[in-house]
Amino acid sequence: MTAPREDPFEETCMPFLPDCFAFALSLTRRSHDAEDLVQDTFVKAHRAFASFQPGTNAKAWLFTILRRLHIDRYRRERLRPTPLPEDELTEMARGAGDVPLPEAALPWDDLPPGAVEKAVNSVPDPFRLPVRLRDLDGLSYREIGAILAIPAGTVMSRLHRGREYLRRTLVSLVEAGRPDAPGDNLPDAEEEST
Amino acid sequence: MTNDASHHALSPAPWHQEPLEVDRYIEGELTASERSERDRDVAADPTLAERLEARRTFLAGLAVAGQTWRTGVRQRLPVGLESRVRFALRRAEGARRTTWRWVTAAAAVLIVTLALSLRDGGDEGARAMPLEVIKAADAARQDRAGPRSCNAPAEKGPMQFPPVKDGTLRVWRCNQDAQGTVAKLYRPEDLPTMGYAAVAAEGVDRGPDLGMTDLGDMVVYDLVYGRRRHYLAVSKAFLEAQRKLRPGRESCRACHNRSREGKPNPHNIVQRSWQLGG
Repeated sequence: MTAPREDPFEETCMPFLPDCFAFALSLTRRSHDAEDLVQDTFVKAHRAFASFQPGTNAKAWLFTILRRLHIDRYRRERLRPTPLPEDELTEMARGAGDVPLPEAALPWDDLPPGAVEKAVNSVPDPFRLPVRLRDLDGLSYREIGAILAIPAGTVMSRLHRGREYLRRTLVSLVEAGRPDAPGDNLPDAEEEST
Repeated sequence: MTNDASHHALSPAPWHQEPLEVDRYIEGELTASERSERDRDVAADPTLAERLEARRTFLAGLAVAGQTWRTGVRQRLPVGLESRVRFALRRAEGARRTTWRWVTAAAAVLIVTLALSLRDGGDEGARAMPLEVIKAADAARQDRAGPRSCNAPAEKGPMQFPPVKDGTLRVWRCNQDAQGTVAKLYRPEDLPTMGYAAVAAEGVDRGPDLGMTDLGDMVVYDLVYGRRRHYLAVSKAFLEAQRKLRPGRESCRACHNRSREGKPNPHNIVQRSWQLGG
């Protein structure tokens, strides 16, 4: 018995369902909202599949649709936060007691399991998505720019600042010497946003 | 190049003093000419190479962490989300086809089409998709459906499911809890495995209809029998193969063996159209 060929849309996009859910969760911070967002994303992507260019990154294409849908929902609910100027964003990323750390200060092997994802989730909002899309999802600067609708230069600067925040968080995690020590200060992926 | 101090103050810093440019270099986000130019700078300056190596180690550590995260992401998918999305796609496709019919049909045909679509699932629109549809599909997709035998009384287990009772299907794995039963069944005749879920049917002994839910990769049939609502998930690949062999009888072949061939279908098959979300 030979299996019938799967629908091209499903063949191309369904493998990225878990990635889409993880991305939706990072945007909504609520599991059932993320599930709704993923469902709507796939229905919309299915309708627009003719516009997808074979050979390009389907995950990045789905993320772009997902992010736009998320923004539309915020608009509808009038909950969308006002974007902050880049200077303020920089200050946020610095945080208190910004002391440059030597690059080699991070012993990766000493990090508890799941520490990186937790630390990524603790990065302040405007910097969190570029870090997540690059370092967890493995997308290129250009793809991240398309998903977040920001220029490549802004992707680079937010990514850099976000990574500095991330690095400090990871170093403090290791220095605390307790596997879950900073956990109380770091949001879980499914924690409700306030 | 000039030694003029004022010009020097205005010239951009070398790329390796710009953290963003260092990351761009390490991560390969450069044009070919940029890359070769920077490669030359690094080759000529061991101190710079050492400094870049430290940054490269940090970014490589992040990349490895990302790779580990991506590997585990599938395990964190909520139960039933895949089924829910596949069902939403089927439904959206069906709605689009219905819309096309509306545009092309004459007024008299329109009324018939509307009536048919109501009969096909309009009355089911208000009900949420039962969890058992998802459980059955998941059991069929995955290679884990609990221990090898059911430990609850036989009247509550899959032994009450008519095709199991008559020996067409056999229980391979079974798991029972307060919510109901989830099992993996197989048919010795041709060995396709099927997902099975059952739940109490609120005192109803038998139902008139056999429901059918299309999830894209799976079709889940449901019926009430013996005060239980039984759900059986069958892969679409199997049904497609049956359609080729016995056109129009593929739904019968989902549950029954060839003993039913030549006999009229006693069921009234109803396409389910569950409500999703929430």
